[in-house]
Amino acid sequence: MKKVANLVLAMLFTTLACHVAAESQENVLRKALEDEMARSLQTLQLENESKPYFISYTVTEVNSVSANATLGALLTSNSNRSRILDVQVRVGSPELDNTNYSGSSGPFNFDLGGLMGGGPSFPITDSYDEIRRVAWLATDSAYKNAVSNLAGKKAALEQQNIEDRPNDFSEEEAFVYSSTEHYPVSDVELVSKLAIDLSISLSGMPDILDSSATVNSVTTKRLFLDSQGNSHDIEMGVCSVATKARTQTEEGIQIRGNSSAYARTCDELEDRRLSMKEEIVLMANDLMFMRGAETLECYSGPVLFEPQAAAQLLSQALTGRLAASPKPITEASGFSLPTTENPFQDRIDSRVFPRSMSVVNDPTTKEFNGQSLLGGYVVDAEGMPSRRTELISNGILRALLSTRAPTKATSTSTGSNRVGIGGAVPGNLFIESSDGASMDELRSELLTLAEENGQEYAIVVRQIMDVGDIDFTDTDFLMQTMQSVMGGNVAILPTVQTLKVYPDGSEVPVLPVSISDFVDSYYRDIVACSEERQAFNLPISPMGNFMGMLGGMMGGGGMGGLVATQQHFMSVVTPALLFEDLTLRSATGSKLRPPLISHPLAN
Amino acid sequence: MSLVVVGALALSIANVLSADTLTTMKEELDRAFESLQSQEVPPYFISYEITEDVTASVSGGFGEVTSESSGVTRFLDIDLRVGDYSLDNTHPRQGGGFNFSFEPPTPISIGNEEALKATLWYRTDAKYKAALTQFTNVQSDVQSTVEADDKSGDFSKAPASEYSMDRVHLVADTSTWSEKLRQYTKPFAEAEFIQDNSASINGDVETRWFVNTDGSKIRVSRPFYRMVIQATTKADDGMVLNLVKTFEANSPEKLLDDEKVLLAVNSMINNLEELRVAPLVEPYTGPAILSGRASGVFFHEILGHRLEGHRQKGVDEGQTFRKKIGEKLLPESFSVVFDPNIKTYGNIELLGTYMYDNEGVRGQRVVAIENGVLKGFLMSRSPIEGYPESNGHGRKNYGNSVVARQSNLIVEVENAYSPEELEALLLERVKEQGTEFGLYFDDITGGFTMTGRTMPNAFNVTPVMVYRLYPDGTKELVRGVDLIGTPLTTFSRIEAGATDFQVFNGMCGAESGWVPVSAVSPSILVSQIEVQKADSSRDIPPILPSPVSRPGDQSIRLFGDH
Repeated sequence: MKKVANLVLAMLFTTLACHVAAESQENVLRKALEDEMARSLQTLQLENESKPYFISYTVTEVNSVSANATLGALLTSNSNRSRILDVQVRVGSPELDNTNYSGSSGPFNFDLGGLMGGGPSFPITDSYDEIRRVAWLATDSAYKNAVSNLAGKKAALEQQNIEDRPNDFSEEEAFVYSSTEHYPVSDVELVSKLAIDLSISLSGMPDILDSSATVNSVTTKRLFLDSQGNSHDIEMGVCSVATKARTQTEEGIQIRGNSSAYARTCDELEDRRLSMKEEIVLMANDLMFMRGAETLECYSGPVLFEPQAAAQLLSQALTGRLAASPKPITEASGFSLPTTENPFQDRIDSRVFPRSMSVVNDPTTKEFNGQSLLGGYVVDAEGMPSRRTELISNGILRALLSTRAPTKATSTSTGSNRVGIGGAVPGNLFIESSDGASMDELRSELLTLAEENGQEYAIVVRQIMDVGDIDFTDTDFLMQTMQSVMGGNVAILPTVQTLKVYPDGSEVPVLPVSISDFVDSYYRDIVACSEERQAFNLPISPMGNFMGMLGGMMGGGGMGGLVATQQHFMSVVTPALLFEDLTLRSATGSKLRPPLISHPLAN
Repeated sequence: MSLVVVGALALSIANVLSADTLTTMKEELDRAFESLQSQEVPPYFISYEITEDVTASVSGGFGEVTSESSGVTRFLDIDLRVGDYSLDNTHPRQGGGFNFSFEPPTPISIGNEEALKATLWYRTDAKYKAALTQFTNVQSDVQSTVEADDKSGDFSKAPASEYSMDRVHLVADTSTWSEKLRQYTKPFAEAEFIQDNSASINGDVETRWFVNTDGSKIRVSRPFYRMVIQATTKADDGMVLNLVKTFEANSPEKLLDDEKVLLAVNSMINNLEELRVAPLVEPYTGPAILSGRASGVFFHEILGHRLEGHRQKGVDEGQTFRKKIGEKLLPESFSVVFDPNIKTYGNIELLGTYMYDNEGVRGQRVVAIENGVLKGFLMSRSPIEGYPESNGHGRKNYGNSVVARQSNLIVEVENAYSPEELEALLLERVKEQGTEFGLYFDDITGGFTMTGRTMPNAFNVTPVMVYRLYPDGTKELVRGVDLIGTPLTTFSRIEAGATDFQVFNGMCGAESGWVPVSAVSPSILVSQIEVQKADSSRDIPPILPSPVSRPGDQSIRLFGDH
């Protein structure tokens, strides 16, 4: 009898071995997730509660390598490889489910775990048993939370009279996609060498107080599966260089310079090493030039945003307005700060831009005039295909970007859930104008407007700070930046390069200013655009989320705007923009005493 | 990804370029110090400390690896003082003034002279300006508040030291580490009741460069390899039960001892299985034995923190022992010393070992309690009345200011009992006090204590393996208990110690950051302790059974049984 049992066991193990070998060939990860999803859909149920009607699994594998150097010497380097599982479980029905409910905590109840890259640890090797075990526990936890939230949401709805509440989940056609693109993981040695070499560009300059060059490479693999048949398997890669330098004017005002470069791989940036070094030296020269800049205490009048500044302005001020987001249900009696919805949701078919201008989001485009657009993608974090969306046509707002959470302005997804949290975010934003002028004509128009205002000069903004340029270790500057963005209707970071331009063509640099009290109606006052358009890739950083949240609380729609992590970029293709009347205020912060000790190189 | 290459790169850069780091630091220190002497309020002391960590780590659980990482960081700390030894800018303010001085750590390179000097220059200048502001506030505060009880100064003099230790290299074969981690955590995957399991193997070589204007020039380098294994189960009533086992060594070979680790893993699994069904503890007062590890944590939390010098003069501190020098705190048979010079106890590496503290002072043996009588305190260069000098216990993690901290705490007991005798003594106390049982605290994960005045001056230690000992000699495992109390009362009830010394290695967090510490102690008998119910989750266990077939599961048994 024992021999028979052993034989049966041997046969069983042989069968199992074959089974496992076959599975490894057809993707153990996918198989394990599919099996656990099927089991959960069929049998996961608390007594007197309904089973999930929707489950999705997203496994994100991140390989990150970064190095930071100053003056030709390495400061820090690190590399990391990990996988995170995100589980979404919905109970109820698409008409009313557990999502879009923030309990009693109002706008502060957002997915911090997702923002911080949280989620259960996941094996980096494809072990069928362990993947199922992690998915089992994560699904169990998500289901219990979903049941609890649905009960809370139903209770909250019973106490409130909410008319025309949109559904909670849109119906979409299933989309299956598997990318063949591959992004190699960067070598920490090469990344370190690049950072060291770029940082050398700023050596031998005693007037620079401190500087650094950071190279950051992130390669992401994402597998997405849901219970409605959507699935995708993609790779993404981004390599970024951020060089920062700081100097001080004779009056004691500290000014910062930034030079950034982005590409899909570090090899692409390696090929641009010489030009990047030249740009860093140019940045340093600009910074030295700015040491003689004037302080502009307050200015009201025409302002010309050159293409880079225009792209930065729109990425910070407009993108939140272009995203639809449902107003979350909160407990009627709970603590909640007032939440205002994106005002553009009530302005569909109204004019929000000049008649000559249109805005299109097209993540399917890969490049513009030979330049790679990093905001392009095929499929979003909810498994929806990216698509071209005409947002503003001849000045009229026609549509908003959306996720699978319907709003009063949208019923289906535009494939814009870029990050998986926080709402819709543009990919490639194209600003178009039917009557663009040359840059010379634009400058002439700027000076004419200034003259009509009785002003001696006008203002040109060449560069605004990017959300990715914020140095979280520079606490003085952080506080100063916070103060400068707090006062406005939407959060726009201070300028980096600003010029006074005079009728005789002369230019005088101005220290950083903030755009004060910027409101949506200003877009209608864009009086002219340049004919030429330029493309800019802009990181969507965690600070972007904070700014978006700030904007959401102050002006609405912010939560749906700037959201993300270092892996995500948007691209803006835009002409220069001339605004008829903006108010600018000094954003220079306090004056500090110059160094009391001479620079070590000074002797 | 090859983490070994990452580590090698970091080391090769460091080795080639760091030869003259101390000299460069000293040159810039002297230049800055001299330059600032022309100011109206010049600095009287400056020190620079650079802390480099070369790290590698592998994490995982249930027989699988979940992440790999490696890195190199270097941070600069500057201690710059204006005023004089009796009153300077670091003086604690009493008048309610709040110094918001959050300062993220300053990254610094040791790569080349220009880069190193440029960072030292800029940060010294900023530090000096901040010190001037602080000093003005301090002077105003001193004039507007009553004179402090402790009239000692703000800084003590210390002899200059010169020492240069060879830099240690990180040995990080992460492929082997991954294999070991899989091997060590696989047994957890085979035990169905284990709900969560994580483990990490970490290597860290910390190298510190220190110079000051007293003339000290010190470089020390220390490898530190640590493995942490954690496993969790859940009782039917929802209580989460968590066990943690840590291993420390100065080389990966010593750390990754298969036999020792797997024995510990099996013990954890068995203990968790027993804990799941163990009865819950009700609040209790009565006699107890704390095992060596448990009493080590107990002494660290309850005694050690209250012997840290700066707590004797801080106006917000409870100052429990300030006036008790020469008084009897413990039984005559007990002595407590702190000694950062002892490297091992038995064959176990002690984490609290170091040569020089973070103020460049040689770590010294401190007899804190001798034959039960309080003799002294742990001192940094912040003096207190009667203790004008440092004994080399000024410690911190980078980015923080130094305060007095513990090193290796060692409890010495004369006329010690054997463990069996101590148990018999416990049962005698049980009978005398008329309690149903005594408690035996076998293992403890950590704890915390409050030493200030605004909160109760109490402690809470978190035991994980606690037994009831009945007069008939039976032992019963219980769960859900916290050991609580106040220090002076608890000390007065320590009765006896045993011969069975154990080591507790851990990281201690306080106002100067996380520092490695050790406690060596025998089992002790306390005539009366108090326990309270531990905080507990009420979440129900998973709804569905585990999807993973494990040995012992029904699916396998079916074949075996037929």
